[in-house]
Amino acid sequence: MGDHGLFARGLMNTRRDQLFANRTSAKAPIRHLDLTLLFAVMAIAAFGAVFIKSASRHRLAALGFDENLLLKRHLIFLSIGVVIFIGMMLFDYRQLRALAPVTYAVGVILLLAVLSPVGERVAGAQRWINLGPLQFQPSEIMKAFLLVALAAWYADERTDPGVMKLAGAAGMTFIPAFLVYVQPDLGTVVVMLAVLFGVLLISGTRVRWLVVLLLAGVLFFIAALQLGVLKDYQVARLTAFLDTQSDVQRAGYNLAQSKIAIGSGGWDGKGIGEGSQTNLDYVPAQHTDFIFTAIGEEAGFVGAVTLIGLFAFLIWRSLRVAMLSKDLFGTLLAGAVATMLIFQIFVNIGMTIGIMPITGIPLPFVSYGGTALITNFIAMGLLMNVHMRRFV
Amino acid sequence: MSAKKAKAVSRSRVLVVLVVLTMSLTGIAGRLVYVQALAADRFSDLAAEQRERRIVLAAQRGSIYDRDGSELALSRDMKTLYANPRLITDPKAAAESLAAVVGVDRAELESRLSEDRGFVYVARKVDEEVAEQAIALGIPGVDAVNESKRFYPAGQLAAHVIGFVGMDNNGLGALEERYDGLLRGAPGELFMERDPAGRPIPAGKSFVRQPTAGDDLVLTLDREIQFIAETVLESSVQKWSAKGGTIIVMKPGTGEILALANSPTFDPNEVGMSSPDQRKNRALVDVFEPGSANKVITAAAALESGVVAPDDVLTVPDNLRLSNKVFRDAHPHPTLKLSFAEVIEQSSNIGTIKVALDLGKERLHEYLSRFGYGRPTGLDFPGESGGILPDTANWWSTSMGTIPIGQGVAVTGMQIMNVYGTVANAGVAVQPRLLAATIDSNGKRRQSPPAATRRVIMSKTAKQLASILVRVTEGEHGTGKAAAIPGYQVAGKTGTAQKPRTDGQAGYAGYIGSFIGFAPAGDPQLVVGVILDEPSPIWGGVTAGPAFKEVMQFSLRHLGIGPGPVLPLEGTPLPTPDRSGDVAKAAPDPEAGPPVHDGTAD
Repeated sequence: MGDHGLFARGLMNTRRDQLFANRTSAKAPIRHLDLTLLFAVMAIAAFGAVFIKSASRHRLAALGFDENLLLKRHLIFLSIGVVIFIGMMLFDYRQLRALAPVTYAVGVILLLAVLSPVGERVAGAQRWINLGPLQFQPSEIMKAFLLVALAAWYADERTDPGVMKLAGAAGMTFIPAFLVYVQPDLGTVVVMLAVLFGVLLISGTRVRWLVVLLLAGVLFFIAALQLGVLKDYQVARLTAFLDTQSDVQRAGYNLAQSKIAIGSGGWDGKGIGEGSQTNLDYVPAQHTDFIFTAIGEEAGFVGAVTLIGLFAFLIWRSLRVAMLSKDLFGTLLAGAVATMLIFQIFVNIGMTIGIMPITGIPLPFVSYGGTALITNFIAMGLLMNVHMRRFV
Repeated sequence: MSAKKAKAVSRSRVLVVLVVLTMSLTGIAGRLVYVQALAADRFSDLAAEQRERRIVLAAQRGSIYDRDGSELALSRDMKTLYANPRLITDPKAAAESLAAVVGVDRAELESRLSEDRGFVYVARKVDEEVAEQAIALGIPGVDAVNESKRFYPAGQLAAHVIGFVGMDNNGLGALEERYDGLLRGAPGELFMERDPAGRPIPAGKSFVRQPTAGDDLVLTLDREIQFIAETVLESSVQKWSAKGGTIIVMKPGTGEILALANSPTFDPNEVGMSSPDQRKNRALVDVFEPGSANKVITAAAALESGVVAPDDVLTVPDNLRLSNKVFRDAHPHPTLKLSFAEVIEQSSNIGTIKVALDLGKERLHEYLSRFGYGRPTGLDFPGESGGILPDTANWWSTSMGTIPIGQGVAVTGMQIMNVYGTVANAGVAVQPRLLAATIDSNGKRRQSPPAATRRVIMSKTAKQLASILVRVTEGEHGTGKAAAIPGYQVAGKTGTAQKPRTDGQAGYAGYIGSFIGFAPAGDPQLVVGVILDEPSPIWGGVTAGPAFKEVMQFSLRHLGIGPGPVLPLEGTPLPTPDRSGDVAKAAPDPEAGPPVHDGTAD
């Protein structure tokens, strides 16, 4: 079958009976949607919508805006995300192997554009491109493009993934990572590194190289702390979690307030909209990177564990897709998506409860942020695409 | 590597990712158990601590009135300026402009405004105009609240009775302290939630519990008599170059204290300017050896026990030896024949000691104790002393010479007043009191219960004593003639007592001069005690007597008390040898004997 599109030959130029036959065939992609994965994504997104409102309404009201402003924007992004999600399922993912260099190049150009005068500077960081009322964050979308590019780089099943391959993959990662580091957006840099590591791991790269890379990463991190490559506030944030009581008012403030909010939620939380720490705006960036604190305070341990359970389910389904994939490219795509999700979830939630350093990494599908949401839906679309076409 | 093998490797690697996933999420869940279950209480407390703010709304402190309703202490609303330093961007400039308006130290204010807190005082209890000017500066985060300030409209009048308060209107002395619980009222509370900048938030929880104003106190003091007592005391202290003194005016029948004046004194509006010595209510806190004033107890015990009668004639030699000590009268004299009434009239030490020896130390001790020596008066005044009454087991061999004439025991001014009050009140002791009534915040007046009473001596004995004491002011050789008031019979007793040395050494240095008495003697309505610390001359009759007269005379007139029935004088006067000069004005004979432990009487 030359055309692996959703409806085998497309809607426009196919006879109805043939269409019907293809749609009902046992191997037709449409019959292999993972509905449970879909359900998990939507449930997580619903969590996000509820707590974005909870965490933003008071601040918006205090500033004289509509208290639902951010929720409404989020729902718009969610709708766009769903459309893109569906779009990502319409074609055969294998076509992306050829397209990967193009999307990668587009991503890098967008990152360069951010650093040019086109980019917008907010709060000391140049991360956005302004599109009228909405802002676009190329570093987020680059995560998806890099993921696809790395999976494509290793998709050849006949070659042994040697050092040259590894060097190429590292170079492919270094370019966007450096451009993002300059913005600066340290969180996205480490997510990119995590994606690289995930792809290398699943590609079958020898364990000794992986170990070397891990050690190099650790050494680089220590050197960065010591040599002043990072800005003071970055170092302070990264190390604040090591000494929790050090500085409640400054570097440790986010962490202290974050733990107070989550901890005061207790077993079953204070009720949605009832979180006093959330309502009184004690936790900074609460509708974005620290949204888990609102969940922890208002939904308690029960709510937090429910969300983590949904994430666990989502990632398990992703890894299952990686296992079931008909080809290595699909395995790498799904595995990289899973790695990206695991890493972001662990670092994001971990920082709010004091087991990971504070880095600006959003919680997938939950944190407010349009580009990140769309990127995550692209990743889910890819995942579903691989799942649907595992028999064709 | 074959395609098949590559796929197998990839799948095993996916399992590695699954393991990483499991470990990560388990780690997070475990940490959540700690944060949200095990440490939840601590985090909840931290949350509440930084979020909630409780402001105590101080209750209006009750006023203090004299018996006629004149204000002695009241609370006025003042403004207290405070600031939220987190809202102040330029502490230096803010401190500069604020300091100029409210008159506080600029550097000190700047350091306070630079603190990382949500609340600091700028200035407490300033006038409203000052607060308005400060707020008009428009510095963000600066605001004012009402705070009441204690004000004593009569200044130093009755300062030792009323006391004073601290910056937080907490009673720190005298009745302000004693009745702090009543005066204070119940504070209210303003509870609110605040945001990280310390601002109350409109959407937050808040409630107000209104404070309940404290009770007003109505004292037994009479403002007019108090004023005269203080004026007379001050002029007496000046006139006789005394170190200080006390005047108390009391109603014997009810125990109500009409005036209680001490010198030196202070202005409770300016407590900070006064010394502890000035603030001390020496009438209740300090003890002194009463000297001859004590002879009334010896006399009461002797008369009541039948050891002696007022008309019994005693042989009074010039001196008397007890153990290793020779006791003398104030002035040398030949052996005299004196009735017991004359012994008291002339305040003879030898006569009193002879009677006391017949009485015995157990009975003497018993009466000293019944008259209230050795325990506080029941006024329950902060810091009140109970005086010193040694057990008879601890009496020295010379104690039967000293204690009957008031040396070797110690009392407060209030205790010795009570002794004369008991005699005046026909032998019934009435617990002295300063509080007449309280008025609660609803205006309901609650009268103080009648003071506890206790019979100490028989009515007949008291009458006999009163008539003997009249001789002190009226008798030919009375030591207290200066205390006599024309038209009234005055009963009383002079005292000139040695003061124990305060430098840690044994022995005495300096004298306390006193006159305590009541009038009209036939129907006693008032007791007045005047005690002067180291007057010059030392004689109580000379120095305290005139002050007694002045205060008693004014008080009788002020309260409209008539002369009352005349008391027949007890004890037939006997002819006595001529004396050279006025007894009361004679100086002590330097040769009169060792100054140590001999009672000196006038």
